Amino acid sequence: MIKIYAIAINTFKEAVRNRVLYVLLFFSIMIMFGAWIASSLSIEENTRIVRNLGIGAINFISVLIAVFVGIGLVYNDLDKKTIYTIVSKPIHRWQFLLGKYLGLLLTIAVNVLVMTWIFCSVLHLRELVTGDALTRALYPTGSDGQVAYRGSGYHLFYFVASIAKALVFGFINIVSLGFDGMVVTQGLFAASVLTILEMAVITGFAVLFSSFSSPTLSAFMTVIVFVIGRLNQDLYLFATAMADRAGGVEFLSGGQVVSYYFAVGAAHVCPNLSIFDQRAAIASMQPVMVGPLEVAYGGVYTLLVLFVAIVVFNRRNFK
Amino acid sequence: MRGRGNRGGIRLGEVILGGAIVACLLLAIGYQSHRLRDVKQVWARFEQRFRLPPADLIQMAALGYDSVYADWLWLQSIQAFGRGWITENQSTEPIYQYFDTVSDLDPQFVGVYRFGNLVVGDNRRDWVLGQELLRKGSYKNPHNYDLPHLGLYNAIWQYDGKADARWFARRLKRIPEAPAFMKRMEAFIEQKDGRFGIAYEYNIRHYIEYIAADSDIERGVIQGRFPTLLDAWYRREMEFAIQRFIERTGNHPMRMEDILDPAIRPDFMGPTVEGIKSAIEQFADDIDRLDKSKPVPEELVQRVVAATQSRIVGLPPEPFGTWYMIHANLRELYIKEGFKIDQEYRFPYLVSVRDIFDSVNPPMMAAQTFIMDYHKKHGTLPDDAQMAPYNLRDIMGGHYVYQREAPESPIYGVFYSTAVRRISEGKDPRLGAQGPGPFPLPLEPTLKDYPEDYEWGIKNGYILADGTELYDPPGTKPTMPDAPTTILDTLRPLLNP
Amino acid sequence: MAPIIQIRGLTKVYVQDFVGVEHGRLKIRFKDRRRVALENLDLDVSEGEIFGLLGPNGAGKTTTLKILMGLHFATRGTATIMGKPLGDLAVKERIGFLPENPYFYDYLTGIEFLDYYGQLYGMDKAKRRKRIPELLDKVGLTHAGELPLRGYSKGMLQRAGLAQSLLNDPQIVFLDEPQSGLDPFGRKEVRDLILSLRDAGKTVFFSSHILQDAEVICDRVAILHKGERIALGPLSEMLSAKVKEYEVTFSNAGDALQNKAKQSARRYVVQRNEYLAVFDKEDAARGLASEILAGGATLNSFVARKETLEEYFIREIEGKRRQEREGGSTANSREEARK
Repeated sequence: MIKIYAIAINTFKEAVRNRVLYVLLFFSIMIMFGAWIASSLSIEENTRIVRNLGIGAINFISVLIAVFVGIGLVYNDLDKKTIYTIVSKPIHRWQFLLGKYLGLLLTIAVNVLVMTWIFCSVLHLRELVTGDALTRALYPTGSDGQVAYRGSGYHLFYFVASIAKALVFGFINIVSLGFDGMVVTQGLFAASVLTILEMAVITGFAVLFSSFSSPTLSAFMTVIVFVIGRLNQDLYLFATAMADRAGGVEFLSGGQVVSYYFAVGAAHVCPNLSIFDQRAAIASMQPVMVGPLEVAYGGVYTLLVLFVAIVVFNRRNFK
Repeated sequence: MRGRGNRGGIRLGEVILGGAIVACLLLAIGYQSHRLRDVKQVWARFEQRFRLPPADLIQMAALGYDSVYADWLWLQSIQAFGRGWITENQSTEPIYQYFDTVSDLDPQFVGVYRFGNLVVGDNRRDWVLGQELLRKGSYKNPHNYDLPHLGLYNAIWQYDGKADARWFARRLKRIPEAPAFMKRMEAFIEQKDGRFGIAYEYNIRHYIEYIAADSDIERGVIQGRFPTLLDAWYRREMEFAIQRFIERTGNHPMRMEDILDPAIRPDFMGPTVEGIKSAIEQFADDIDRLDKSKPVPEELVQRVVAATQSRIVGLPPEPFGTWYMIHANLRELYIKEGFKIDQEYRFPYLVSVRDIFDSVNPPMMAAQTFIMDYHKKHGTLPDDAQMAPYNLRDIMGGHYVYQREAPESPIYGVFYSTAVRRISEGKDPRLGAQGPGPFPLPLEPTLKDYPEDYEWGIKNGYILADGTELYDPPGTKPTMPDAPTTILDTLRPLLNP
Repeated sequence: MAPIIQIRGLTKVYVQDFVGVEHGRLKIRFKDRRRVALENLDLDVSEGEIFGLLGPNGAGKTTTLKILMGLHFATRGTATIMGKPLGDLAVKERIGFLPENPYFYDYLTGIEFLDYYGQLYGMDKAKRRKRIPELLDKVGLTHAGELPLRGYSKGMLQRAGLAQSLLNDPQIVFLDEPQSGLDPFGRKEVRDLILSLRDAGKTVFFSSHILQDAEVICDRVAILHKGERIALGPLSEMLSAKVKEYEVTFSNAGDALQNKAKQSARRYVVQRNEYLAVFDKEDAARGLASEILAGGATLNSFVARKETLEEYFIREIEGKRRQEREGGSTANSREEARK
């Protein structure tokens, strides 16, 4: 166990030194503030737009991290032959692979939580520096009912204080696992947990592919699995609609039969990632809980993929 | 390799190559600028056509970020609406299709339905498609009560679609989160549709529900509904009677007594305020025993409804405690000019005292303003001669009094109506709440009943020697600027809000 | 005593990809995709000896080590370490391995790096804390323990690699080209370290193509060429014990002496103002030497040279290559005949 832990921690250390990660994080922050600006173009549902874009950004950036940071991690060890010294140590190969996977997942989870923290803070800040809260702060009503004006020097102070407050509130949301009772950030933590679960599956595929092929190919295949996973309901519908139009599978032409079985097969084999997609509901403030179904599906699928990865990895020669 | 290769000078080949590169670059820039202008044209065409690909195609391309894409389209549509081209020269169908697609992308995006309804329905007056968006939104968001409520509102107030209104009302009833007032709308719809019996039953059910639930505020609200409902009900019965009277005699009725003949206005079974009160008291124990978590049993509702019914003979009791009468002036206007106040009231001269009760105030306010302005300007109060134009008879049967140095306002003086003062002091026996009710007193107010007003009427020529009472003083007209000059002016804001 | 490492009939055949890059060109291969890297290798290494696996590049040295370390799987044949089959964790706990040109996580400092590998050995914290400074001292990296590996020179990296292979105080140490890329000092240090390991009772199994070093330290060697073992045995047995030639170097000699030396010697070389004469017979050499001494010139050295490993190696390999060339030329002529 300590060995897997050591590998996972070391993988995490390696990943957080990757500059791509910080570019992606910066990018996500830009999207969050961009969402704030975009929401002001709307006449209503502004909050929904900020939330939706922010949650979408967190999800999308984690996919990018899983694919582009994740794949390099296993491959680098193989390519630079670090694996030689590791596999010759008294560990099983599966321990190495599992450690790598867990380190990667840890990286993604930490990143998602950091992004969630920032996003919660952005939402809190948005509440604090716009609308009623701002008016109340700059034009406070005294005990005598008189409305006063705090001079313009107060504005900067209020703004800085709001940022600090927002960061603290955002942090509270993370440490309370989303149960901080704040309406502004309602459901965001659940969205992030679902994203992490989804990434657990995708990362499993990334590790599987990078355990036997080059990074470019692995990235390509992982992206394909991701796309099919997001679309597999559509894919299935497409195949069945094609068969229905022809009047049954037996009436399909040769090429169509191939694409029919490919579509149906891919839809069944690839993970159904839409299970983890509650983002629209969360954006429109509906109560969403991470249920046992999502956890079980993600867990079982991940275990399955990792099992295959380990079987492949156990048999390969390191060049 | 020629020997010149290492020299510092520029070779002809390099010049040609450089020139070619620059030329290609310029060409590329030119082409790109052309393309960009094309894009603008494409955008213009898009504005014209305003079509989106089918939602499922977009959904596939969006890779699970459908709702983010829906947001983008939403912002686009709002900006487009702001520029005005959604609503200009567009048939509603493509606009509807646009919102339909966006809402397919994210069915939980409530704003799309609302905004779509605003554009298609409210703005373009295509209520069929506009309401269709709300209907879709209600299906997709079974817990959202704003959408069916908006649909209900549109159906009632915007295009009088009773079937739609009932559909949305039924929808609202199934939403546990919906506020009570929305669920009560079903009663209102039926009442508006003239189906008073059904509306009454609904109200009784709600009333029992709230009594059982001990929610005093809601109970009060329903309690306030009954008089309005009964008032409309009774009026309709009387309108039928008036109709029958006109058919028989060819004339409009002069007085209430004209239509109280049982042949013209047969007795009918209906509830009364008193009946409701006593019935609720009678069933109080049954109501207390009700299980709050379950709907009120139909059988109990029926029993209460049956208990409230009584045979209404002659003039129905005005549920607010005043009485019904036939307004002579309005009757004249109706006959002469075909005057109509509201489609609801087919014979606008059938009024209750409560209708005109508030209309005594505007002349009083105008006079009071005149007194205060005068005092500001001159420092003194106007004398009686200056107040003469205001010394009219009020439509309640009293008259307006100018009282200098009144106890209420020693500086400005007070202008008041004797009838209102009587009523507010509870001295008017004709008001059912305080007195024995309108019977056996005459059905129309008369100055003769009040000595003070009677003397004033004789002095000011409102009562002629033969005892006839006139509404307008002989030969005089009020000369107040901006003051309501006719009863019609005073009534219009009241009845046509 | 049973051999600590036993290799029997070890064969490794690589199947190459259909698509590969060869000499900078994309090449698609359909036939001849199999490449034999190691063929029927038999080896026994006994405890406490320094065993050298020698051979030119591509001889199969690294393949052998990779198979022993469980990085590759043998196509045929068996190998046991300490009597256990390959991949046995108990065995892995008692061996150390230094790959060729090792790369480690360059963002870790020397100490972090060893600590991480210590964790992989399952060592607890106290043990790691005690062991790491010892090792850094042993490989002479105490001063660089806090520096990230990114800043290490090639020699320092090699020493860090050695340190990680010795973390668990292994019974057998496998070293793949431990001295490649090192300067003479570094090579000497590694040599001394290997010898000290032997003194501590460890078995050292290493591969090298630098023969001088191997010659100095190895107890036994095996020589591989193109996957085949062409020689195996103790160095003393492999190299002929008899003196091969006699070398006399001298200076300050007159022309007569120089001419005499030139005529009598098998080989005569002038290096600045020093002269080297090589003789097959001891008598001739002795004769020259005595003349040098008598003639007032300076006798710089008198060496009886035995055969070096390098000479043996070149002889053997050259022999093999010649055989192949002949076989190849026959093949060529056959091809030409076909045309």
